[in-house]
Amino acid sequence: MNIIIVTACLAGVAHSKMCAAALTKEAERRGHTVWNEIQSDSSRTGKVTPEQIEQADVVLFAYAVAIMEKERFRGKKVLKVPIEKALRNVKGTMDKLEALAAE
Amino acid sequence: MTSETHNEAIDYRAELEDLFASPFVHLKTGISYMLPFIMISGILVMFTQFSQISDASMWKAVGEFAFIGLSFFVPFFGAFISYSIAGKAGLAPGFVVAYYANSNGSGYLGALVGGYLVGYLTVIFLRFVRTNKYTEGIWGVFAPALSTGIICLLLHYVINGPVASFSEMITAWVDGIDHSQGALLGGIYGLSNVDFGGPISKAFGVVTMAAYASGIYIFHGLAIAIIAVPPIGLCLAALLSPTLFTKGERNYSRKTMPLCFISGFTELALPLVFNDIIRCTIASVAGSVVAGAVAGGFGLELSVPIMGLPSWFFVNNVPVYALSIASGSIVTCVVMILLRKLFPRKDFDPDDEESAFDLI
Repeated sequence: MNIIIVTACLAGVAHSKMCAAALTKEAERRGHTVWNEIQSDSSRTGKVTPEQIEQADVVLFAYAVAIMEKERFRGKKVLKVPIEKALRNVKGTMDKLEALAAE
Repeated sequence: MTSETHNEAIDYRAELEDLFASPFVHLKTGISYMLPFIMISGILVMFTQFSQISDASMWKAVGEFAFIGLSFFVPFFGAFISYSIAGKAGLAPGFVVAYYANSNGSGYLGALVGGYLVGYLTVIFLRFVRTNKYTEGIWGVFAPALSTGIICLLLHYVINGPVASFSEMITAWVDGIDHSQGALLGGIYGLSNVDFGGPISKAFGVVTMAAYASGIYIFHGLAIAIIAVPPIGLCLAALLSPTLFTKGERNYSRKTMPLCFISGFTELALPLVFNDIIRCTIASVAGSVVAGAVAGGFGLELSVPIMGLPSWFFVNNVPVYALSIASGSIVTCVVMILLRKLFPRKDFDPDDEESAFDLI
């Protein structure tokens, strides 16, 4: 299945990148396709494209601050998790995400 | 706040729950968008130091624009609290309210309260007032103006006065502080490193910025003294005592050590911490308390809110700054090594290369 992971943390330095890396690793281990959007000043990943949003089965917001331009994901299945929780429990977060996609 | 939402029946309960689900995210959003203003100004202000050596007109120009960010970080803090609550409709009201608070006595605290109030009021106006297709466009323009007006008047008549006298009281208290009280204050401030740049640290950061906005520089002195202590101390421990750290951790420490001195992010310690939360936290807090106490005891102050390398230009006492960082880092390092020697880690594999996240 196709997953979009959007992360946003306070300084845009550490948590957003670590969280995206950890979740992506776990998701790819389970055989999913992952598109990342790290919302930080120094990030080079850029935005997910409208086509990717169209194709995504489920979207994960791992946030400590407000996610920018949330309205792009309207109508999608979205799981919102505080970024610290997602980082501490990568496997559990991925389980929840899979359960949401299967609904 | 699109046009469809107004014509549907409103589920008040669900909307309200959604609105108040995560109040601290708004505060953190405000801080997150405020920080770049401080960073830009802090770094540019560093260059104004050149004007003391050569008085080329260029450095004078730098001096003029370098402080713009510092004079606007409070309004943008309020603006993005409100933006986080109400979306695009909340941005301008938040800015106006926070600007008004900042220039009329209640400063950073007024901007914080005003940003929250105006954000919630705007979103309540827009979501809960029923409109039809004729009034909707007008209401969309009118509601933010109305909420801005109401909250500004509230600030004017209720909030500005008490908050201003409260800040004066704090200022007077900080001015009269002696060495031992300063050390105690610094020690308490050192505890803020317990979550390595997470919510507790940022809560202390809010207090620090509030103090800065009212001209109290001692909290920033404490903040820079402790901010780099955990990463420097833990990396130092990994380099001095390699047998107690995995290969991944040692490699990370080697790469990160120079960056700790340059950038000033407590978060740099996180990849080491996540493998061993309890020991790292004890060691870091011990070191941070020592660093804070040294800085507070000698009255370290920082006049421009910038972390990392540029801060060395703006502290009032460079030897104390160096002493506080050095003593804190050494304590963190020693405590870390002792903890791992006395209570060895379970399932410890010194050749594990993967155990450190890669931040850089």
